[in-house]
Amino acid sequence: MRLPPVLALLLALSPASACELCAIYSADSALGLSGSGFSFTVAEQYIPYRTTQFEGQEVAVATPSYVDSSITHLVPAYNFSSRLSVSLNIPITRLGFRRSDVEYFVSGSGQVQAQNITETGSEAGLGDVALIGRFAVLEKRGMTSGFQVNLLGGVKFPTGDASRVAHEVAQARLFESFLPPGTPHDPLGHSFSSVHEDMLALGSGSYDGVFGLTANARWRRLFLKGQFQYYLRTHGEADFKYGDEIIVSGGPGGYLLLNPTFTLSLQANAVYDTMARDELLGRPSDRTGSTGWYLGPSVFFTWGEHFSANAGIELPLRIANNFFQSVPDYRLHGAISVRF
Amino acid sequence: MALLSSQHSPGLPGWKLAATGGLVGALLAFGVSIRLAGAAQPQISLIEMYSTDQVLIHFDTEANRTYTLQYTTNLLAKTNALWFALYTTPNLPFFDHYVIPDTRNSPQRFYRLSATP
Repeated sequence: MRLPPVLALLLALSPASACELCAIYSADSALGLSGSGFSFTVAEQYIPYRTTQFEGQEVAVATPSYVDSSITHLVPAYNFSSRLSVSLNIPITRLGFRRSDVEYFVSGSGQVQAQNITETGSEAGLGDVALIGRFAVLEKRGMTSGFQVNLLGGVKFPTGDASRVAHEVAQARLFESFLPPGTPHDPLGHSFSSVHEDMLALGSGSYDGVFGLTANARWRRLFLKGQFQYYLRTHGEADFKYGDEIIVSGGPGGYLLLNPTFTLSLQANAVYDTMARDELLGRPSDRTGSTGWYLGPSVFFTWGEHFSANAGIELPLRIANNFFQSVPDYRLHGAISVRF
Repeated sequence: MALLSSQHSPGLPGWKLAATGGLVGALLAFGVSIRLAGAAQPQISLIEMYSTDQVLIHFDTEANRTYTLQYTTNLLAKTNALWFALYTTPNLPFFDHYVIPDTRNSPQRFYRLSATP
């Protein structure tokens, strides 16, 4: 007889035996939440920005612009102890895109001309590297329960190519020169695309602050995870400033499979992601900025005390965007970690 | 730069002309728009000098309409005038303001703007 999925889940989440709790304890170690030593993580995040929206409502356009964002993070880390670690985040980015816009260019005769363009292609390479430290401000670990609260802080360096940002600012500056001085206009008023060039930049050209807080609590086979991330952007390439970003995510979960050598757990993950408006030419653009709410499952797998993997997908419940933008269809992520 | 604005009827109802000039008569450019029934009239809002040898043509667009900006150098030919496309906006779900640069290498150039639907 097949069990209804919900019943099977409830059975899987029933109180764990001592042996199973040993497995959970080992899983924490594999996840890098205890002990010291080196670890290496490869994480992938794939987001297709293929839904075209105007002021939060999906709209149909003849030739929609889009970006398929794939970022592979290589993350070597060192745990000094269960409470303190430092990691280097090396993103390898690939952005496949199609983008329609008006392009102002200088012809051979030295005159400025306007032309509609549709460019299809990809941008790939090293993104902005970040160095991030973690410190556990609260930690209690036991067989049946435990919790940990971590503070994160770091710096993102301008290692990625920001030439797309420079070109966007040059176009904005040229368009501004067309207008009588003092004419009120959006600094991205030259562009009618739902994919602005700054979305295709591998780097920002800026030194940014990265701050966060993570909290994990566990009771027997149940757990609750939460994360808060804040990206403090500064002025970078051509004085362009990406909008600050706040991400709050988390949700409850439980261990579905417990074995002395491996564990499998499932979490319901809710995400709130808000990005402030970008700034260029000294003022914010009302054609940028968005807030999204997402929900989806994440699964976590551990093998012994040295190997872990996770994967998840988040579907948008609602995305409120300013003006005309391409927004995510969904967000897919996964990671594999090895502790040495 | 002097800016002149006037209303003319070149024989077709609903046509509107806006004229700019003032560079010692070397340039005379006209903006022509076509009124469509049930929709706001497309209109060239400004034609101004830019740099030493260019003009800028300004116009607003409404949502969900495609606008075509054309020019000719010989309006007097009337029915035989050859109009050339200078710029076409995409059909997008929002209003916008366009500024299109053009050359000023002929004594006169006339512009018109149409919209569909």
